[in-house]
Amino acid sequence: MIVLPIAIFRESTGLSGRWQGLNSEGLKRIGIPVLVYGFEEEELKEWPDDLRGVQVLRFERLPESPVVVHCRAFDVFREEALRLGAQFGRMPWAILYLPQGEKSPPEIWSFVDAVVRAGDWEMLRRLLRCPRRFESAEWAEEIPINRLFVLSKPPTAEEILELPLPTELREHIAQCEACQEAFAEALEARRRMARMFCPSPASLNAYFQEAGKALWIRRHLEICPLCRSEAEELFFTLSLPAMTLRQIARDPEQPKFLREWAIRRLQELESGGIAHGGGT
Amino acid sequence: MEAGPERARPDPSLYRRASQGDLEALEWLFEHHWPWVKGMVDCIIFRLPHLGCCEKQDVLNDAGEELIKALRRYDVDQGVRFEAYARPAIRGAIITGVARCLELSEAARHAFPHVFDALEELTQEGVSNPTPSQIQEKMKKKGHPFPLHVIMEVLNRVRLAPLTQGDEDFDPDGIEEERWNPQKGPTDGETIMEDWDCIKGGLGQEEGRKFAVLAILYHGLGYKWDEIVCLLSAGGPSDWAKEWAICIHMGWPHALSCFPGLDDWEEVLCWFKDPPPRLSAVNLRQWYSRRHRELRHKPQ
Repeated sequence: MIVLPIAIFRESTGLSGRWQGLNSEGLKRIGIPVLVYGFEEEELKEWPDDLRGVQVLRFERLPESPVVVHCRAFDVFREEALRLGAQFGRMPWAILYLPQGEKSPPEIWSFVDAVVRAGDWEMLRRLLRCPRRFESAEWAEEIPINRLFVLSKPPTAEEILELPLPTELREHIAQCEACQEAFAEALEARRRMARMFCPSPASLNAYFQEAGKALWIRRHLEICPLCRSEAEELFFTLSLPAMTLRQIARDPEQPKFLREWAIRRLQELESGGIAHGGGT
Repeated sequence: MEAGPERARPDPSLYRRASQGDLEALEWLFEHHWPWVKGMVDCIIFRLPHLGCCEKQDVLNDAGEELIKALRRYDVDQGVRFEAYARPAIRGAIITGVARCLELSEAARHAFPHVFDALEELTQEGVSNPTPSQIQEKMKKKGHPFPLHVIMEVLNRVRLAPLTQGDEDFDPDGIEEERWNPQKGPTDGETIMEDWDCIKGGLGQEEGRKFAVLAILYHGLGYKWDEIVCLLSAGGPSDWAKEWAICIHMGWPHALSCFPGLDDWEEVLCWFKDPPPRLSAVNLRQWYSRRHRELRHKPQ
């Protein structure tokens, strides 16, 4: 049994790159080193051979791989996670290990990234296949909405390499199956939720009628190409008075695209109402 | 909707007895007309997808009370059918009850029944998809001038289906399209995650409201995590609180009805005073991502 403070462990093994490139036979032979917190030695002996528990007694710095936290030690871990969050700007990635029949403690999701039932080794293996799995999923939140809906499902390695992510991370995701899977899942969840934050057509309508005064819609249109496209369609079907159009066109606070639409619409009106060609 | 085409009309003597205080006749007539009233409630409530079960029960109670009042007042010998006599009062009670439950601003609560009336009239005139300005104009003609933002507050809370058979006599299950909020493509309402109620159900009131704030700031308004940290720690620029309130009322009224106080920036700041999440860009993103994952993994 290895029992080490995390600082020594981290430097001596270089967890993040160690097991990548190993095939399943290799992993079985060496065993995935798993940081564990709050486990009894006897409990770890019952774990499968390919999951090698490495006890963490205290955290002197942020571990680079997820920590499997036994439910009984959750309260202590929570304090540690808060301390690390304050000291290093983020909490450690963590998986809660929940014995059969026990319920999750309240508020666990502020402190852990996944919950695994005792004995669900397949799930644990899946979550630990790459130590950067949770980090990859987290970065899916950073993908701009305009990229969100043009990516393949799941995104290809080529597409991932073009995403606005830290270079080293996107290169890792592009070549790591486990991280690609987590990243794709997180992207899908974002897709499902993304348009909760879009203005309704009625709000867009009112926004134009009031010559683009609602700042929140203006902000949203600047980041959401889907709404911008719908707004453009709506803009050219509304019979906005020329005065409102001029107001928009002359207002330097208005986004460029809106001023351009207004100018185009005014030109259409002056030339006798040519149908809108679309596409900005 | 009549009490049912196959059901015989009640004997006029029953109405006479009910109006004279005969409880047995009153009870019988109540039972007889209740499906019609309930249908009216269902049809209006169908358009208000964010009304909870308790509120629906409150509205049903309001409608029931109004039905009893109408039965006591109704004079069968005037030659007017009971449904025609009682409908305006019962409908009014339902709409007033709904407006109360939606926690609308005072102005919007006043405007609420008139917006419904204007929409119905416009539909009957063949305007199937009226603009807010058309609704405003119609209300003005009827002697109910309301500012556009008040009308918008109402429209943002309702899911108004075309009245295909006039009045409330249509089958709610038969509605195929929405007049307002026809959210397209990925916004179709089939996924659970899209629903603020599910965020509240999945994360609970306290964590759900923090998630809602971060989601609106990050995904809705496009602030970066470090900008969000500044807003939450410094309180934002001088007019930020006012701007935030407008933005929530106009943009995310459903979120507000799930998380009361969401429009009050001072209150929002208090929500974030107790860790977690600690106010740093990475911590906020980590917290938000974990909560998002929690929503995905929790059985709905």
